[in-house]
Amino acid sequence: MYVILSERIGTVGAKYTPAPGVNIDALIAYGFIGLSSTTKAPKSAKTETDTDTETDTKD
Amino acid sequence: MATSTLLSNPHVLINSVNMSDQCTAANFSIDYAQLTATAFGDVDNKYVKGLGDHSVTLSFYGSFAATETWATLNGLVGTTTTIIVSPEAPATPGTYSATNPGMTLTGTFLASLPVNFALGELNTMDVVFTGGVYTLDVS
Repeated sequence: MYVILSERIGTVGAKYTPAPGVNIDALIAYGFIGLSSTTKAPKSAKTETDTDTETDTKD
Repeated sequence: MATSTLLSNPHVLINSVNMSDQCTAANFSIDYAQLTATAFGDVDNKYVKGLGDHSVTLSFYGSFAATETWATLNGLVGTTTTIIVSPEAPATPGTYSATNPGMTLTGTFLASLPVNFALGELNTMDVVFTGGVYTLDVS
């Protein structure tokens, strides 16, 4: 849920589990930890490419 | 004869933040009210333990850089937090022992953040955390 942003807390990028009594708001406000994203990155839009190699016979 | 020689390495965690490299003094005081339990017929005073009233006094160099002293303490003024002081840094973070106990105050209150400036000196911040539940982590 939280991710470490400062070496003063632990390894940067690691998950942070708060100990009892820790003031989470202060840690977030001053950049020690952040909220880890739990949502998936959106998929890129599909783009169809015309791969039809048929030749036009009307000409 | 001294049995422990602590030259420079007590470990101070404030609100999970390792502030040892900015801390110059730590006074962890474990105090209980002394309640009189002396009754008629006694010939000596007797006492029992009352409420605990613990405190931690800490002195820091006053760095205003990101994630340093000011950033650690300013957000805690008027709130409660957890403080752990141990004789030295635990080999594994959060793991203390009988010879390196983690003296812990949970829910301790910071009422003020005095900042000291003096000509020709590094500025300092001296804070006192009061109250909270005292435990000794030796696991």
